[in-house]
Amino acid sequence: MSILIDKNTKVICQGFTGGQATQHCIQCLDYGTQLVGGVTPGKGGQTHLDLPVFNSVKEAVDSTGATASLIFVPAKFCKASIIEAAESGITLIVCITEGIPTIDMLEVKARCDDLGVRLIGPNCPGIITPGESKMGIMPGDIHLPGKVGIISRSGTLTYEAVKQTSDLGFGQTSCIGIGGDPIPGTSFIDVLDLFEKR
Amino acid sequence: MNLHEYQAKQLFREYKISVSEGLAAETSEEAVSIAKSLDVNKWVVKAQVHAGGRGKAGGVEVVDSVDQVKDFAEKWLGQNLVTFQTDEKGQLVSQILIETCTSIDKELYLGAVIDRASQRLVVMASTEGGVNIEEVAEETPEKIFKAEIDPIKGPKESQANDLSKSLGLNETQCSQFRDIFNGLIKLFLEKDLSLVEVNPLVITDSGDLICLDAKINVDSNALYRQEEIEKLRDPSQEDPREAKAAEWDLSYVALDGNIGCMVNGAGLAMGTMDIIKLHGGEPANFLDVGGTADSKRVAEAFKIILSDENVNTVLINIFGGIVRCDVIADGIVEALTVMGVSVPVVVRLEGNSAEKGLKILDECELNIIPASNLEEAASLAVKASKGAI
Repeated sequence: MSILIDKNTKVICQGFTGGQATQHCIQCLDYGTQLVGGVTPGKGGQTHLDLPVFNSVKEAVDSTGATASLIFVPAKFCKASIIEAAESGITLIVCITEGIPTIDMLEVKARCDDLGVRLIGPNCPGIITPGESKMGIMPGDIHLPGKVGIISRSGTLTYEAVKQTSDLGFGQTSCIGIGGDPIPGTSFIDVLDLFEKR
Repeated sequence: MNLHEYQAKQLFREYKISVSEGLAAETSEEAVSIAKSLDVNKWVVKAQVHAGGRGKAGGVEVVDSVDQVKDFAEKWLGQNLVTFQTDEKGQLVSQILIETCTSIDKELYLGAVIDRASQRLVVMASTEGGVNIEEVAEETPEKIFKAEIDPIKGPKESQANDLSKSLGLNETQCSQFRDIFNGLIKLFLEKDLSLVEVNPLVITDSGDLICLDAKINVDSNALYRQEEIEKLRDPSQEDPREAKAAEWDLSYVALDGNIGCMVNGAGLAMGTMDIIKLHGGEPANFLDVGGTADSKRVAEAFKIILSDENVNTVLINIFGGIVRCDVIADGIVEALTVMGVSVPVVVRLEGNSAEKGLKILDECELNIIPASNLEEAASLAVKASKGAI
């Protein structure tokens, strides 16, 4: 069974109006992700990709009912962005950004744990439930709804595992890229637990 | 990024962590004047390289005359020091550290590191100093004492005291240890370190605690906010090809084989090397072109791979997520054309814009062997490396 996201998950994007975020949000929307808006401080009130832009995560959550956030902000702002999301009612954070200082992640991880917020990444390709929703930068078309759950620290090696399981006709339930950093938000064992409990 | 001992000790001084008195010299004249200014009759002279194992390699000596300080400086400055941690060329000695000699009563160990299991900064102390701490951890783990530091609340007062007790320190030493412990944590967090090691931390004849050695690794991801630390970088201590690769945000590790590899993503790069081995070939390197490779970086990656004269085949494996395969294909064609590459190049492109990329490769008139999956790519590269294509 799939975990963490499905076709009903309402997602916002932090760093929404940036170049990388824009490119990947278009692909997420094409895939069917319920992306309901985004956050770029100072650009609140504007519209981007036909979706509302907010100044803060709190405003975005209040206005859209989003429960998940996909983060593309530069590494030096990630600590503040992740903690802001965790403190604003977001329960699932996927942080794509690479290069976040480890000292920042020590505090981020402790805060997310205290608040009971699930953090995936950073420095990861994101997560996908094939055929339903994707929060990440993986190419959607290599996935196939099916029965193999995939967990990986690597980005492109995950794609390789996905492609091979798709080519053989098995498909995937959900694919979780936990990222390769020293302090990941979620570990292999955490994700195995999630798969077990469904 | 690593620091030299003399640089680490300068940081220790800034954080009121007690170290021996001393300074680094870049010439033998300077070494002599430092030795004289210290006003003692016994010195420790230490060749400054990043690698460990300096003592056994002759890079650390205790001397009792200024002439000997001069001899040591003349012997090592400008020379390479080879230790069990370096390659056969060794590392260049550009500074020597001249310090007052400490009479040692007992050697301890103190270190701090980010512990991935507990996801905390962990301070480790041991009664077994001056020896290889990995061996202590392996053979007598009960002699290593740990304190996990809460990332939000910081260290508890009891933690330094508990470690002091475990080390068997007296009251004066306990108070000195508390200062070292707190200074070390402050230094670690404020300067974005990934490792600090004091081996040995000694109790002197007069009963005081002093850090005799200091090893510091810095988190490279944090250098953008550590300008002062970044200035301490010493490129002469790095492998030239690896340093060149780092300039272009490529991670490169040289190996012994003949199949040059260019892959996006560290995991896939390792997987690619495995599959080359599985097919009976030998990878010449690990090279991750990263998540945002463009044609310039592909060209630089080629240069680095081909600077290894053992390379007789190149295998490019790109699974595009962020990276667009057509951009990579343009980079490959450009690099091959400009550089006049003569070795066979096996290319496998998959994912983001792969079809466009393959079309670009198909239309060029170069020695490129396309592969449709990883298995096939590895098999073709191994055949090519053995002259079978």
